[in-house]
Amino acid sequence: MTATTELAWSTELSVGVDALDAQHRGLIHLINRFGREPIEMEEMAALLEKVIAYAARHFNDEEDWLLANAPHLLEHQIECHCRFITQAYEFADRFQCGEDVELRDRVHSFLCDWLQRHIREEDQRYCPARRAAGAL
Amino acid sequence: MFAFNLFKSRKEIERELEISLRKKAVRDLLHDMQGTAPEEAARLVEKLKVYLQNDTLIPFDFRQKAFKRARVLECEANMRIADRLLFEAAALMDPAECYNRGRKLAESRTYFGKACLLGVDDDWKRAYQRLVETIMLSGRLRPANEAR
Repeated sequence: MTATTELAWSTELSVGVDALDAQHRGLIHLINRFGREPIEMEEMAALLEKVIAYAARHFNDEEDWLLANAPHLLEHQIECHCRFITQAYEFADRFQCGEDVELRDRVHSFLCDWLQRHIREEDQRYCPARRAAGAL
Repeated sequence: MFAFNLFKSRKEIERELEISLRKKAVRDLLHDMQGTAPEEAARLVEKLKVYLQNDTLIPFDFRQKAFKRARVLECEANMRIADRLLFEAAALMDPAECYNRGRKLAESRTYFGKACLLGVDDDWKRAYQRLVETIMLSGRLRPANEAR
């Protein structure tokens, strides 16, 4: 995957919870911006921090929803969220250290892969709970 | 011949006294941050920022060191509570405690994120993640109707 790859929202990515779908769309927008815009290293670092902060808010909401509707699914989700935060901040640190601009492609690729996995695999685990909660 | 001014003027002495008083106020603020809850630490960091923004006497070096130290203390506050909540969650093995365990894990994860933002070291991050994995593997919570 290259930095020109763009993520696009489609109904098949919907997790059935409007608020979480809206946040996923927000993440897609931010990640596409990260890959598309010709920006300086410092701006890239700031944009990555923005992506992480947005993802962190999304994680909080997702965890709150799971806690209220399917607490037995929460642990796995938390573990996935921790892993993302750790990896993303490692990249952010490398940006701060002024690593090569090529890092941008790797980070963009990492973010694209992560978001697709997050929506298509991790979030699909709580589909049955969503139906049970009547969110669909 | 050569005349060195060995004595400071009254104005200089007053200025130095004022600087040392302001430095002491910053040190007191940092001291108050030690061992506090993350929310209180964040509030004190904001207070420190406002104090230093409005100050024109405190030297740049001291200012930088104070910000750096405040960040470390805020990070430690988040680490402390993230650890504590994680261990509390790990202790709740009873399936009846499913909700409380999840709540503590989620809360702990939030503080983990904040600690990461504040630049926590990699060793702690790895240790935290290992413990989350251990909790997940050793005591996965099941819904009451799920077959074992």
